[in-house]
Amino acid sequence: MSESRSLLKHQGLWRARDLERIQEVETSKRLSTGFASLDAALSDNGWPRAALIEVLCSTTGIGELRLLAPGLAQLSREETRWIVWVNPPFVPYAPAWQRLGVDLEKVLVIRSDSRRDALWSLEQVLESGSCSAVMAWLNERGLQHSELRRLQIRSRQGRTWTTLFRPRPIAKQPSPAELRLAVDLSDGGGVTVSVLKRRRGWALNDLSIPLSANPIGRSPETLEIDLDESTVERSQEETA
Amino acid sequence: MLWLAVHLSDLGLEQWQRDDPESHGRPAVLVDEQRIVMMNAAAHEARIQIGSRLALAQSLAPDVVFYSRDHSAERNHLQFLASEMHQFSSFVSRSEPDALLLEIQGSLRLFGGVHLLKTLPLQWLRSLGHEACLGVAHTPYAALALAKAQCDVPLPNYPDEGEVVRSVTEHLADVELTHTELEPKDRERLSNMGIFTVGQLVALPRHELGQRFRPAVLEYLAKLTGLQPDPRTPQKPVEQFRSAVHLLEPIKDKTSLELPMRHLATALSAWLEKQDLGVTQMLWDFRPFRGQGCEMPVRFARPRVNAEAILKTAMVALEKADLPDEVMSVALCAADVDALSRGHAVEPDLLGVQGRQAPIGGLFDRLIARLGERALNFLGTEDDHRPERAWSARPVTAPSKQQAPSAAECLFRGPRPLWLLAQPVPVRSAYFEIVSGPERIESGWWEEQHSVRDYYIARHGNGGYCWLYHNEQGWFQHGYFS
Repeated sequence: MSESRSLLKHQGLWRARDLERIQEVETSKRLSTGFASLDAALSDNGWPRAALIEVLCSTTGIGELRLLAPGLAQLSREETRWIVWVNPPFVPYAPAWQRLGVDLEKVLVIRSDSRRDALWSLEQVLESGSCSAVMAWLNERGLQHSELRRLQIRSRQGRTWTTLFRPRPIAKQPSPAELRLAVDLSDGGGVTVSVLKRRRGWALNDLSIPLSANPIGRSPETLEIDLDESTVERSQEETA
Repeated sequence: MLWLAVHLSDLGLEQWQRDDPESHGRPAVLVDEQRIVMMNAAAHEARIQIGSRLALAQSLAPDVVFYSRDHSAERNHLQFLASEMHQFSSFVSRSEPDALLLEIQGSLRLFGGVHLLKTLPLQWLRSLGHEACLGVAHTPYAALALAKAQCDVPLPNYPDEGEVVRSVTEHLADVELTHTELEPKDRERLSNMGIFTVGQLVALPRHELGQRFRPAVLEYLAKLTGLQPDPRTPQKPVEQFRSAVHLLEPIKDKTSLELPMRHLATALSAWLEKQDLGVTQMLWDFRPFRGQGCEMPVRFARPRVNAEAILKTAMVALEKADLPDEVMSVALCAADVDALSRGHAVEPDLLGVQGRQAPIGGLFDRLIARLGERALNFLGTEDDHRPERAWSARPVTAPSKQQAPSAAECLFRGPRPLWLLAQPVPVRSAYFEIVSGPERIESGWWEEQHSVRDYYIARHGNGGYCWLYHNEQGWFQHGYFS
């Protein structure tokens, strides 16, 4: 008992209950997810800026991109580094991303047919250190633990927020990713996020994230009012 | 104009000696038609004389090295030196057989004055095994005469025209006529008349001189003093880079090719630097001893100069190349070059001044080398209201385009999905529940296939939000609100 007491005085050790205090990341450095409940669940108070994370979702189109969008927009505002898409399943639609505040001049899309080339280019991108965020879709067949581990190390070295989109069933497999999120649809139009793995914390289930039900922009009904000159000018200023 | 003349008196001998390490420290002579025409200092010490026979020289110095004169090789070598001299001036002209002329007025600021512009070429020539004499003057002939006479005119670091003319004329007066470009016949006549130096010649009344000598003499004098302009044909820099390394032993594995490739990349980089250019496309050629070779084109996203970057990209491309079993020679050719800052983002300078984007050139080059040019795209918006045309994918090798906020962007009102399907997919409306809409989008009447679409946001049975449209052909899905 006395031994464990003396251990507690040791400088290099900390107790899990002190986590809150340790978690206080400098606000200037944090990359907010844009959702308070998710921020609170993550160890850095936001997305990790230099790590591999996994987003697992059952189908496309349930809001997985809207979950990342505020973070991407913040990065493209703050940094001159690039945002890279590797093998996206569809076309990232430029007008919509621009409206969300992502600077398209810093966006690069890489496509490759073979799994090896995709992994290679992903590693090159991370190694170069000139990309702030990478989103990748890799062929799951034959994806090895060692490859994921490598991506995690490279992400940390290149200070890149790397998001790997993977299918939901993969949740049972272990992964070296620093953060694993499972995204499911909730009834209200938002999503529920389960944190399967996070740094300095246990898994969390069913965080409800309210994504706006009407996903982007205004509804078509407001069209007529928008054509008013002053609004056009204002939106020009906004885009500028 | 300020001219720097470089006189390479022993060019014919030195061009052989520098490739012959055994000759160092030994007397060496150049032989033309059995007579000695040139020799080095060691031969001079052995009391060998110009004009004597080789047999005599061999009896005086048994270890004498001799080379036979080759005028065309000398000319080629002078041409090579002239093109390399572009590192010091943009205007280089040859003065056959053994001198070069550089216009240095334009290079003074860059190199920090006359003194460095005299020492740097000398150092560089010495590294190639050449000893040269320099002359600086306001006319080419005066500079040549001073160089050949080995007469060093003291000049301030940034001389003005008047100063140059004054001190050059002063020093030129004592230069002997043997060092001028006058015809030997005229020189002989002049010396018979008791005129041995430039000063004496210039002092003679022009009119009378013209009556007694050929017009060429007067013309020479006018050009020497600067009364008459003396245009020179500039040596054109080599316009294409092409170089090859022939291997002594065949190379069978790709990693060993790095050494010859590094050699070529360094040469290319040096050439580019001299031309103030960057390479955008290069062609490697790997050839076996006999049979079909393999060509490997490499493209760069931005013009590159750096040897290391060139090599690194080439090594990536090499991994995918299908080489012959044994490579006997490697060749490199700069297929396309571009000025360093023309429509391309320039790499950040030493002060770290950056644009909106982080420098990424090297990464792009490697990706292009392995995946091909079409695998990399920039995204952009287009000024168009039709959803398929409102975005664009631009290859990274294309020069960057200013993206203005488009008018369509301001006008377009409805929600747009984050994912767009490249091709709309026909769907059954029964699976979907309309959330909002419609938004009508019409294609232009000028198009052949005029279409009217009503776009809706709909929720799929599994919960995802989709972008659907309806037209006379039925229901289609065009995107995901992911």
